[in-house]
Amino acid sequence: MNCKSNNILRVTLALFSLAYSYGHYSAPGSFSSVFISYPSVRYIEKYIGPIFILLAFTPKRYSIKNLLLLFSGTLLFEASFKFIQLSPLENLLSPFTSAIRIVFPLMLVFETKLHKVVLIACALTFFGHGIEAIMGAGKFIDFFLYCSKVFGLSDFVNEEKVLIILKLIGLFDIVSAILIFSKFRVNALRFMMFWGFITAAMRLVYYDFSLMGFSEFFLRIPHWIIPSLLLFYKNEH
Amino acid sequence: MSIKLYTLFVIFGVISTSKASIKYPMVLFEKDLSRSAVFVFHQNSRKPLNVTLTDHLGAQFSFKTVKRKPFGVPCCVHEVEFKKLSIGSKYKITVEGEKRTFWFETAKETGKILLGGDSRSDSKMRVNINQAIKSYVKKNPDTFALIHGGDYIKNGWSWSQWKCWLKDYQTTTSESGRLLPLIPIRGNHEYLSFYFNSLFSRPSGGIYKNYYVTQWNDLSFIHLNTNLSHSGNQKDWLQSKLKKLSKESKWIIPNYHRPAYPAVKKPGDALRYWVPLFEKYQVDVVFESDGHVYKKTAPIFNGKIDREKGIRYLGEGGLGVPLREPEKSGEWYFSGDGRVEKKYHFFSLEKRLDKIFIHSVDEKLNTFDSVQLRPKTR
Repeated sequence: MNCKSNNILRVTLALFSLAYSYGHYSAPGSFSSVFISYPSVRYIEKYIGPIFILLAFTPKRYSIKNLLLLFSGTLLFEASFKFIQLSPLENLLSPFTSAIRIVFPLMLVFETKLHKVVLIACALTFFGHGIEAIMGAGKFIDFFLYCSKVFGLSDFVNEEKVLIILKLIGLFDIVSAILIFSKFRVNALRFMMFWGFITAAMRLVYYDFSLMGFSEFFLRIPHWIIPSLLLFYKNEH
Repeated sequence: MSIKLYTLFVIFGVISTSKASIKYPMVLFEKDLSRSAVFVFHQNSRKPLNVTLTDHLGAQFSFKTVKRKPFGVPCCVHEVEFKKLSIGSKYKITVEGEKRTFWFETAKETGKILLGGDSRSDSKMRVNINQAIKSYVKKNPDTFALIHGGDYIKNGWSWSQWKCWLKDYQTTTSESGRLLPLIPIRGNHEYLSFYFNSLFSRPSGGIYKNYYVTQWNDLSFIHLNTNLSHSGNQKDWLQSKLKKLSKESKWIIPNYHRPAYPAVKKPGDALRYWVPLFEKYQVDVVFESDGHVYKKTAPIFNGKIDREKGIRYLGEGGLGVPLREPEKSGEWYFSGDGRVEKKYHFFSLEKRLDKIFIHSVDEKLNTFDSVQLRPKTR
């Protein structure tokens, strides 16, 4: 991984951590749900985020490996806790949909050694979102309906049509998750980069470019930056 | 030896053919609190069973159950629908092969109905609240039903958790066999759970619906499903219902799971899509769940406190779930007479001819807060 990729990754980590901090500051997360009887856990959860933002700006000569491992471990814990609850569907799919987010901070430490793990994480993320889309997640329908209204397409789009579109997109997501392990990897990664960006940007539009919108956008920044970096890496070699 | 074996076979045969008593009897209201009801119970018989309904005059009506075998549930869920019931009448239910008898009451023009949400993750506390509800109904016999705002259990796809909830709900049944009818809506923990429909008789259709209106004389409860799209078909349906009900009903009360004006988490999409409709058609009060605290907002209209046109949002789930800290207690919508507290609770909505009182009751049956409503001009 060259210096440029490393810098992109650091910026991604910084923005992602910023969104993570905002999310955990404004609403309780998994840790406080597990330790609901201990209000101090919620206090830590609320204010721990900025430490992870600092990680992105820590020079490599300092040992940040353990802290990055802690960050990934935290994200893994949250995804696992949601999974253990099994319900609702987004919790059940959480280990899939969060896979890129869990793995990408480790790329700063292990660099290209994690190449295959990152590929699997991309595949799992798109597979999970694909299932959610096929199941017709309500929030996805709302995003589509709102964005179509913003772009003046509301006369042509209704819930039934959005459900069909979502099923198709879900299928594309799952196919791309499979193709990433085939000779069509480049095309699959291109799709992931494009669609990852669109779905993240959709949140910005949906929340009218508010703080919430930027938080949702930055939380999904690894979904398209990491496939882009994988493409970049592939072209380099 | 052969005699012993024969005796064992006979005993085994008698045990296996004898009918076990019914489990988890429950009455559900959907469309009308006074006119129709569904009686659901679990029994291992694969054949339809005879159910007799006796009204307060002694007239008897016979029904055959429809049985279903939802995936993962031991056979079978039996169900029977009672239609054309009389307003404010006591109905006795007897089931073939069951020694116990049960009864329920349809709603009168006035009376009380309980509301609450979030009974997951702590069976012990859930039973405590259920017992408090039972005592409350005993003291207030004009209480007709409980509207549950969702999140019954932690994992909506777990039969063992549903079984525990059903067993715990039996503690609301009085010693004389009075069943407290339930009006269920989906919470996020029941998202796409097929058990919800299997156990609660599919209120208003399939997994992708479950939003409906319950009529209580001149009061309309609009139950919404926050797991689905807020802006699509559900919003169109809500708008058409509000348009119609704002002319026909004296009182309109929406009820859903994820809050628009939360006390703990971020606001749900109800704030963006449904609240403008509530304000346009001037609903009387809104019930929400999900936060695991007690809340009463100030009257809100157009993003501001408004004593004239404002709507109060009450909630946010305290039927046994472990409670949270009310993190958003400093929000503008809790100022004035707004209130937010870490407290187990349920609401008792008392409907009189020209007024509604909503009492907030804790697990010790103390009424710690109340709201009075007068009919709105729409």
